[in-house]
Amino acid sequence: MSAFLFTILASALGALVVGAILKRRGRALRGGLALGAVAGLLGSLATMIPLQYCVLDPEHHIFFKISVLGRTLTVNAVALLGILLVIVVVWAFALAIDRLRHHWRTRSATVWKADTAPGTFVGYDFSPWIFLAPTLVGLAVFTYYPAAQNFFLGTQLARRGVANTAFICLDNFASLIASRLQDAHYYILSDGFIWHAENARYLAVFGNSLFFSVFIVIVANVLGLSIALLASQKIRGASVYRTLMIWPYAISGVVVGIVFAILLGGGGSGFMNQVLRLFGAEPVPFLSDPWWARASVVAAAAWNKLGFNVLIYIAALQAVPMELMEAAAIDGANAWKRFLNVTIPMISPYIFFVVFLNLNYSFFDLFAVIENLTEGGPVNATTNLVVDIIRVGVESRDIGKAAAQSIVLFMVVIGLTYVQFRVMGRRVTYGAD
Amino acid sequence: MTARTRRRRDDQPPPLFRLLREQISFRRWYIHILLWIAVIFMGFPLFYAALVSTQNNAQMFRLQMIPGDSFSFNLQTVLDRNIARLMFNTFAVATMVTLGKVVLSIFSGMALVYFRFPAKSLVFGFILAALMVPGEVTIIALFRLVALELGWGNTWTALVVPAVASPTGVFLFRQHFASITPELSEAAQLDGAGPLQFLLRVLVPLSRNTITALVVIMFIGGWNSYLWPLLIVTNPDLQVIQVGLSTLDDGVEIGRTWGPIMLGAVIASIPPIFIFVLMQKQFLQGFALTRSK
Repeated sequence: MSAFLFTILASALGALVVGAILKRRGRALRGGLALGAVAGLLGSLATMIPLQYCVLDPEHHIFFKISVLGRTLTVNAVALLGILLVIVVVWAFALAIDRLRHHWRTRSATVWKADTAPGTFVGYDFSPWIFLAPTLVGLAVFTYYPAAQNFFLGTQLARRGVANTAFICLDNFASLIASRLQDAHYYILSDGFIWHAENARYLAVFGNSLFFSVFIVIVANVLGLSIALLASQKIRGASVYRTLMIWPYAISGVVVGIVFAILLGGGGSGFMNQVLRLFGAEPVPFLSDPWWARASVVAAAAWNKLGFNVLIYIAALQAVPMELMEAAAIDGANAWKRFLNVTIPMISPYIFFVVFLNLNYSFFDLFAVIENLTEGGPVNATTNLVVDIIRVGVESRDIGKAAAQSIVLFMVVIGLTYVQFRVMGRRVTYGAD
Repeated sequence: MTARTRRRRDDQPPPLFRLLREQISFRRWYIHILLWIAVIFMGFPLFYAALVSTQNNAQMFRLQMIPGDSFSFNLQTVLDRNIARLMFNTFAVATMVTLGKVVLSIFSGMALVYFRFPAKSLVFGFILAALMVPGEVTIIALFRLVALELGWGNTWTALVVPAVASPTGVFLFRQHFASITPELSEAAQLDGAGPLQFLLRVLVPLSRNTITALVVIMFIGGWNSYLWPLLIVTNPDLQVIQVGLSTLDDGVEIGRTWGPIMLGAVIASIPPIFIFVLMQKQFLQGFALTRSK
């Protein structure tokens, strides 16, 4: 009964919200209401039938408490996540239906025109499928199937090495931000703002990933562009310098981690601290202090990627037309202004390219560096999303929770890709090519 | 320079090219110094690793900056720990993965450009969308699939087969083939060549640069892969060098013996650095190809 009510409610709310939004955008109210109702119906069914309407069950109670300005709120994380999920899916359905309707109305003959590209081989109906089969099967089995499996495993109690699983609703997701233990420890994040322990741990892991990405991108790009500016000058032996600087890119994360471990590790008798002592400085707890450990990971990763960035930026700088620089010089722009107003805009596509590659790297490929430099420590201070997935799924054998974390990571990928398309798309409209 | 010539120069618009050049040549010496600082900064970590690979722990902790006397001992240690086997395994796996990726990508790229079949854009979309799913996202489910459902744990099959389908490679070759004029394949067809003949006689020779670019990118990636072998292979006889590095300890001294580990790290880094430095132009070109539409 409550399932029926839930569906009706989702449909009605969807109709109201989508109708109101489309009305504000100057579309007909009735169309918006209908679209919202259909999206609410389909979206809530598509979400809740696989989940068997479990978020409404009173047995799934994973709470987290937030204290804001002295008031303590107890929130049921499963219900909250379930409702958020339905909202997102309904929204996606509304967008998709609207897009489809628009597409249907404006489609012309050219959109569906058969591919008549010249130079194609005629009379081979099966060959292309034979050519494509290994790739398609490989991707379906080893990329798409595991990706889909994540969504199934995320709702299951699954143990590593055990074939059987049991459905546990959204508990794996909820336990990322909440805890079953009612009187677990509380972390105080700031005055009047208290967050539950479990919850704070995953937030901290997420924060580490963000920290690494932001600072690796900043360090690797500022240094990379500076070195490229020097190395792209018309000087003797520029290509020699280039070769001498880019090779760290080919070094594996493991070697980077191990080498930086002997440079920075070893406490007071480690290499870096002995060098610092020669200059009369106090020893620095590079790998044992949380913030220094994070900085060490950033340094190692940035060192690894720096060469690649230099390589790309040199190529970018050499593509900046000399006439533009001369014109700017005639207009009286000094070197700094020329850099800011001519060079940067001219190489901005390359900057986006490098920034997004570095972002992807620092979100997804840091495992080897972290594992061999800090092992995620001290006390999870350098554990990022990927390291935590391995910790939970492989070492703690909780496949279900690791799958839930993988889905969160997947959301990050989708977010990054979306931003990338937006930025790149804007560039294309400005660009002259 | 006399006042007269200087005035005459001021009358004419200054040749800006030369002006910029002169500015640069004036700055030259300190650019060289800055660049050498950058080179030393970039090179130091691996240089120090090479230095430690000749030392024992005592010399290393003494911060000895000249080569120590333990190189042969360290070399003996890593050989006893079977580094040759690890290197061979890595080479074999990386080669198989690279070969598989290149061959499958060429065939898929060819199918997408030189054939007409229904739902082509859908197929291309299916392949491209896989670029959006990084291996780290699927690794837990893939581990379960390969180890539990397929039972490939502790085999090279588990290292090679899941890796050979490459959306990057397909995209690279599709773009490259699409940029080749269709008249070539029309001429080939007039001469009675089938698709396979056209592929082997015309496309492959024309794609040498693209193939090299993909080989460099994929081989370095395969050589350096760590997380997947760490999870799926536990048999030391089948293990790859990246995972095996931390086992290169001599197991005698308390704590880690850094000399052998650093020697292993240096040895493990030689092949990818060698290939990368040798092929940097093709590598860059490969990236440019994947980037341009």
